[in-house]
Amino acid sequence: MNKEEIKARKKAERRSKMMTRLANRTFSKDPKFLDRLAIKNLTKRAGSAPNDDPELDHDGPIKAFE
Amino acid sequence: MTATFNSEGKVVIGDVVCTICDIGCQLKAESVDGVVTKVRPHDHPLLRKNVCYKGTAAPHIHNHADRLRVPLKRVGERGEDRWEEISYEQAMDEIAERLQKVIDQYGPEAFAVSTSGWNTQTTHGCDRRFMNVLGSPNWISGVSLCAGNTAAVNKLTYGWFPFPDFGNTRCVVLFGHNPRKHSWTPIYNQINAARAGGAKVIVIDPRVSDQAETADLHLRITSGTDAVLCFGWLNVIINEGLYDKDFVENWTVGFEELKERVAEFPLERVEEITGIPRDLIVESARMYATADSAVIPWTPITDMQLNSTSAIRLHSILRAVTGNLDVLGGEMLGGFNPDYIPESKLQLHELLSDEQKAKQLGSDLHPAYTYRAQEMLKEATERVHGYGYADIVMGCYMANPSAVFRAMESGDPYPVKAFFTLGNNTLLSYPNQHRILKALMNQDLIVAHEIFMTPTAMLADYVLPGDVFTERNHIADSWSWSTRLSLSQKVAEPPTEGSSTYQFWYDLAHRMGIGEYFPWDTLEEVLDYRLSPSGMSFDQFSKVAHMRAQVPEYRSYEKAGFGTPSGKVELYSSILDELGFDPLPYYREAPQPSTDYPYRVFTGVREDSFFQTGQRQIKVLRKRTPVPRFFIHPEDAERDGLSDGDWASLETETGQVQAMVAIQESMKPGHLRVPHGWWYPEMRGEGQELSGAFLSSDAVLCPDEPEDLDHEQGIPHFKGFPGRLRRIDGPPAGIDPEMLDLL
Repeated sequence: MNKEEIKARKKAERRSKMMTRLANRTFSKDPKFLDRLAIKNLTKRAGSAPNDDPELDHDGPIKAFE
Repeated sequence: MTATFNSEGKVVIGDVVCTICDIGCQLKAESVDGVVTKVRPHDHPLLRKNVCYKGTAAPHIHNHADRLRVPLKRVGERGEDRWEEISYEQAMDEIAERLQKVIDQYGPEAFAVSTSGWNTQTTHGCDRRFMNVLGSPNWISGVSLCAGNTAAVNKLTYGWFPFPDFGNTRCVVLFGHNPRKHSWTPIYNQINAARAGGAKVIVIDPRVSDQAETADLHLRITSGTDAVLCFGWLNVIINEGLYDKDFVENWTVGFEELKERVAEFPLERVEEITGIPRDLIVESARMYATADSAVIPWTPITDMQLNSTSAIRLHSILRAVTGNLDVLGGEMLGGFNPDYIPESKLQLHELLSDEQKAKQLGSDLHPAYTYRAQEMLKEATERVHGYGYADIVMGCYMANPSAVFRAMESGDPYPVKAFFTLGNNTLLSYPNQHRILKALMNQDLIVAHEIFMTPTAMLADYVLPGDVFTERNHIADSWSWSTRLSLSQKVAEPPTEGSSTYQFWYDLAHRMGIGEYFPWDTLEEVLDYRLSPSGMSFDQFSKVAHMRAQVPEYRSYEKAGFGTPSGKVELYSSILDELGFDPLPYYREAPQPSTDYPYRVFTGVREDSFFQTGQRQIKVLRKRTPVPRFFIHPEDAERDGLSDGDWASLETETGQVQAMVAIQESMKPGHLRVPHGWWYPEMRGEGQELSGAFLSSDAVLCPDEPEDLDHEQGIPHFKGFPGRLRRIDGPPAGIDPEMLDLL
């Protein structure tokens, strides 16, 4: 591995670590300013639409011990 | 967790980790007045696709009319399915007394346990803890056939079981594994994301699976020959100089010996055995080895072959020589999570004496995942990971199931007379079901801890109702495999007379005079203890986050080496060598099809509607797969005079089962796929035998004599043993007519 490749690898690793830290912020249940920023960024990239998938639906009512 | 009120009552919404299958998706659950009413996808953008229709069916499962709610005591003959209801307290008192009697008469090793942490989740290693304090090494689990054994074998090569970095990888290799929308869903989503980011996908599978349909390369391998293909790849990688020379030179031992072994597999030989054209072997090897990063994710296929140890080791070796270990986009050696005390520590393996460890059944012939081999890694594991016992995916200190059932049946080498099964339908979960039945019939005490009556529970003396994931608090850590902690919150109430598996072991320990080893009175106290390194209690964690991922550390081995005796990746395994096995991977031919038995039978197939032997009584799921099916190619169907929808009997030298025929172009000619774990909950009552447990269960088909097993682990060959099909008049009597009407 030459110097340039090592430099690029280190940069990519730093980015990956940063992404994990950002992801952890988005998992917060009591988001502070930076957490909210991270959530906003993630939502912008991944979208906020709910997972609407009819395949997940089941027929019949759900009652206790039917 | 939020609580509100609507017109129906108190509504609670919480984060839960689904345990209907083994993947552990984090979902959202809602309950009204303590009864779960809805399980839906999580609202977090990274998690919301991680859900399948088994997960959303959870309320149908958790609230089912047939769910066990009261402890049962056998009143008829064993297996007769006749019971009286008793209190939990009475059941535990009697179980403690009877277990003590067995131990007094035969010794602690006469007590064996089979369990599935996937289903019960909240054992917190306390089954092993209980057994280690009492003195029994005979713990078995389905993970001996699925992931746990892979973890143990990976450790032999580099000291840990790595997890793929799907988020950054440039190439994914699927050895028969077929993650799809409703099975292994998060892996499916991660593969799709990797593919969208430009990663290549190579699928090795005899049939055209869902993943194969969209793969960059599809290698239609003859089932059970994975090890040979790996040799073919190594041949190309070594001869073309595609390996990571720096890593091999600095961090591996045994490369020259490996080269010699690889040379025994010229591409002509690999082509002949695997059925894969030579040019495709070369192209795929190059694609894998030249990718900037690549992963070979765990696969259930390699876990279950005559050459399982060699094939798993070859995956490990490929990861290492191509420089994909502990690097971005490769396979991460995460280590113990520093924020959470692992089950490995809770299990107290250090309390079990060497004398008792030496009695672990199967460790003489097949030691790879038993104490005998894994203890040889203790010093190295302590050096690298700070604690000598690393029980990743629960699979690293197990007895061999076939050896345990032999001892239960015959008393050889010593009697095993008390058997506990928790969240595990043992009868249908291991090979050679007829032997397992004889083993169970020869017990003085059987205890089943379950959420539904199963064929195995029908053979018990006591059946105790368990809880489910919406009814308990938990922090899931994938048994030290992945590096994240996921919150699971109690939103519903368990049956009044039910218990978690932790509670079961706690209550039993306190009745048997070893309560001092179980100081945590509740699950929440256990969780507080386990989270103590993080500085948080369970309550605090549940208010702060629903998930926490460990920040990756790359090339962690540069600090203390690898967790092996040499401190390096052992291409040539010093442990296998010391145990008297071939220290290098090899290939051993499995029994081949013949005129009498023309098919290669491939069992253990997972259907989307079910996990293992579960959920056949859940109508919303069963309607999606009403009956078991044999999958065959049209050419084979024509030869055998079979049509789609016919019923057929599959016979092997070990047993026979029945199912409906499904003819598919996607199958490879000569191969026959059999779904795993079928029985019929509707077949109960007078004249019914164990709910049809022997009618369609794949566990009937595969032999498990020592010569039929993988040498090092004692794993059966589920992936390609000889069998034949013949048409029968119709389905077995007693199948729910509503299900037959759906066909």
